[in-house]
Amino acid sequence: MAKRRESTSSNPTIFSYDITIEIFSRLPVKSLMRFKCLSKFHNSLVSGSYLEDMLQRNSIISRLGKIKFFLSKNDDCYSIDLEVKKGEKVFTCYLDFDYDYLSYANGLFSLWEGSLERVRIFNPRTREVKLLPDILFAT
Amino acid sequence: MVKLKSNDDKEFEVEEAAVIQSEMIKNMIEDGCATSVIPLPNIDSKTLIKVIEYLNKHINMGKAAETGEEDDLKEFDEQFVNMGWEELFDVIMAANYLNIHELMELCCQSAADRLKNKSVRAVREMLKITNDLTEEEEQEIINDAPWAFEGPEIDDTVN
Repeated sequence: MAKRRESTSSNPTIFSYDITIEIFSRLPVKSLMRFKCLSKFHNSLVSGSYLEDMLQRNSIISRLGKIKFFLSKNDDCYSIDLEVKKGEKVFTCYLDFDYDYLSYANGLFSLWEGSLERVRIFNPRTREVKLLPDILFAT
Repeated sequence: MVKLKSNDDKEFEVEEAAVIQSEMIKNMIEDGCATSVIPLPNIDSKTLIKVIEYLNKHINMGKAAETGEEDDLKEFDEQFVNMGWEELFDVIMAANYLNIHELMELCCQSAADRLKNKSVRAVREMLKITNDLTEEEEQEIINDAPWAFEGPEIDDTVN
């Protein structure tokens, strides 16, 4: 933890570190992704784990907790609010890779080809895709 | 009654029940460090008046819930944060220093609401941020998530 704080560049804004976190933890993901561009400090703040912790503590994630995402055939991402049982198209994500199967847990998709080849993790909130290293199965 | 002194040497009398919503002052009173006047070197009188207005209104939070005055309090909160950006900034700094949890929540939410649709340029100006990213680093961040920089809601004005 302390190490990460050191690597964070000096705070170039009028608000202190703590106040910036208080405010940023109330921002939607789209704003956060954009505000990474503000400065080095804000980039490492949004990419770092502190803000994630705060997001989880604040209501944002607990509200999102009721929402489930799913993908349709044409890569449209839908969310479903389980409280009101209403679905809503969130965005089209244009996944630029092929997949045969997908599953969803804890707000993340995993998508893979064939028998667990080229497994990717997709986060619909940040729209980040990570390709996992090949899994070697013991035979 | 507790006496508070702003950094421009003005004194304000506040009921103890109201002022102990500030964790910082509550601790001072409990420790017996608040015998006469509490100096607040970080807060000017204009901001302190706003904070005291909030404390006085919120003093009977529990009662309000019983008597159905909750809506009244909600309306007060909405009106309360209807202030200029600089003013809101001062109140956030004061709420943080005095450690008034509810006021901090209210004002930070308002700040987030005002910032969320702003362009990068507008936020830099509002938060007086000096950009220390190189053009290449900036472009890399944009390329990582171009969708975050597009949309009809993005507002380039500063207010």
